[in-house]
Amino acid sequence: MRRIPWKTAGVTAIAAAVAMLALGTTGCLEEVSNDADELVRQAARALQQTSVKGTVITTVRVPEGERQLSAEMHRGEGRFVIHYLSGPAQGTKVHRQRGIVWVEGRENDEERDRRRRRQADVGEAALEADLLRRNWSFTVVGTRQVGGRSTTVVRGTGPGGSLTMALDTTTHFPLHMSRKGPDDELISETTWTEVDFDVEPPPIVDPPERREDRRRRHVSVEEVRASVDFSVLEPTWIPAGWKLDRWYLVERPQHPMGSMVEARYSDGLRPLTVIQRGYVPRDPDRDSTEREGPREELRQEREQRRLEHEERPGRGDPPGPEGREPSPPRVTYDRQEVSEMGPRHMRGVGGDASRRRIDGTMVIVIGPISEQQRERILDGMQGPS
Amino acid sequence: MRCRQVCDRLTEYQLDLLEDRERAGVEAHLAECADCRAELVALQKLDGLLEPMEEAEAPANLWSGVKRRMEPRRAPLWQLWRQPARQAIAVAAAMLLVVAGLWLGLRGRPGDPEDYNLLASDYQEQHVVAQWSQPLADDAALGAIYAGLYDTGDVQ
Repeated sequence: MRRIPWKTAGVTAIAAAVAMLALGTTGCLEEVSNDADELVRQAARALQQTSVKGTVITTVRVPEGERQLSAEMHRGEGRFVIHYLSGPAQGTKVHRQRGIVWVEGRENDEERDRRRRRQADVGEAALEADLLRRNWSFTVVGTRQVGGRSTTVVRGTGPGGSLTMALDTTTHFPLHMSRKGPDDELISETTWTEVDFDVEPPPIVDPPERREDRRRRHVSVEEVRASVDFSVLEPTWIPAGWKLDRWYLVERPQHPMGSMVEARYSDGLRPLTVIQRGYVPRDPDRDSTEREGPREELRQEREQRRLEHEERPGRGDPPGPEGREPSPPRVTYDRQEVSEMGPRHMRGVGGDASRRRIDGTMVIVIGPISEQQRERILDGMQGPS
Repeated sequence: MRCRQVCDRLTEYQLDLLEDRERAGVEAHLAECADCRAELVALQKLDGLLEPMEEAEAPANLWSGVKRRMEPRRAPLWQLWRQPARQAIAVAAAMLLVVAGLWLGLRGRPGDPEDYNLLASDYQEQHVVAQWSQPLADDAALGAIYAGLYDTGDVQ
């Protein structure tokens, strides 16, 4: 009779148990992760469809620091109206309807808010599941009371940043959203302090007439190249995880700098924009023969006004009053020289920026990526072969 | 109004302290004068930096701690010889910190103030719109930026 190898059998049994345990654990984790992904999808749907009204507190990082402001928000069926109660936008309303966003200035203060009357076609945001899954990892991290309601807290980490949301357990509407950058610095944070889901969606209103001086439209890169009078470049390198969304043409017939071109990339939740426009030299003697038409006339008129302005009393280096030293000359920056100095780096909202003049094209890269990555994109910009 | 008159009144203008007539004069000038607008933008940025901090409640035992530290303490005789040296070291360290702070501050500052204007206008608007086209956008934060953008004209 053959002897049973108890030792081998024991080792095999232990190995099998460990393997089963590992598989079981992995399965559980996957289930939790999938649950979080599903919650994120439901949150995106709720943002579009759920009718809700209440008060929010928002903190946003701007180049000068953080700003906190409060607002009344009413949203539903893809529309919203936000009435700002404090902060730089106090008294203004921002509307969104059918993919268009516009600003309504303060009442009885038309002149002061003339410049704030903006309008943009932002389109309808769609969740791209593959891109989101590839770049962002979401997990459920707990529960929390927000605005007097129970929420499930979901945290996602992506390439150089994180997003934390507190989703209402009944509607999945995000009652809290916090975005942070690569160094865990706050980008923006919004929390509902009062919330009412038992409301009708905001009424449909007529948006103001479109601004004639600016038109943004989605076009192919070929159409972009055919529409502008400067060389449109394409990045040959983009950081991993970012995918080209689409090209846009921003036509500005009245603007001295002419049309702009934008290549927009996405990591599933955030944009990376590469903006291009023709380089317009500042020296009138140098470019008077280079460009023709209304843009050039406008530019020359502006330059003439600037020169007249500098010759007016109160500017330049006027003789001082009796017994006083004349004021020191004002420090000015030669923008042409600045442009030709090479890449410049700037702080912005939702992403920092770098710019560079490449032959006759000014290229500006804005996004939540590092300065080195922005420079590398600029290094790799190339024209059509 | 001339530029100098307007610049002299920009602080009051920003704080809404001007009378209607003067304010109208300033606004009429600002509408035409890019340099004075730039002055106003710079003043607004400075004003933002000077916003008062939130009041913080002092800890309950703060005063007793301060009082205890205010009471004279007699140093041991063997430590007395060290005091001038310690003061000198403290002064040198403070000066070093000030110099280092200034150096770092100047080094960390962007080379061109125009850079801020650049991104605060057309390009910043473009990027805000791009953020809005993404799912799960923070509408309240983006709306505040969008409505608060300052159009600074044709910056390079």
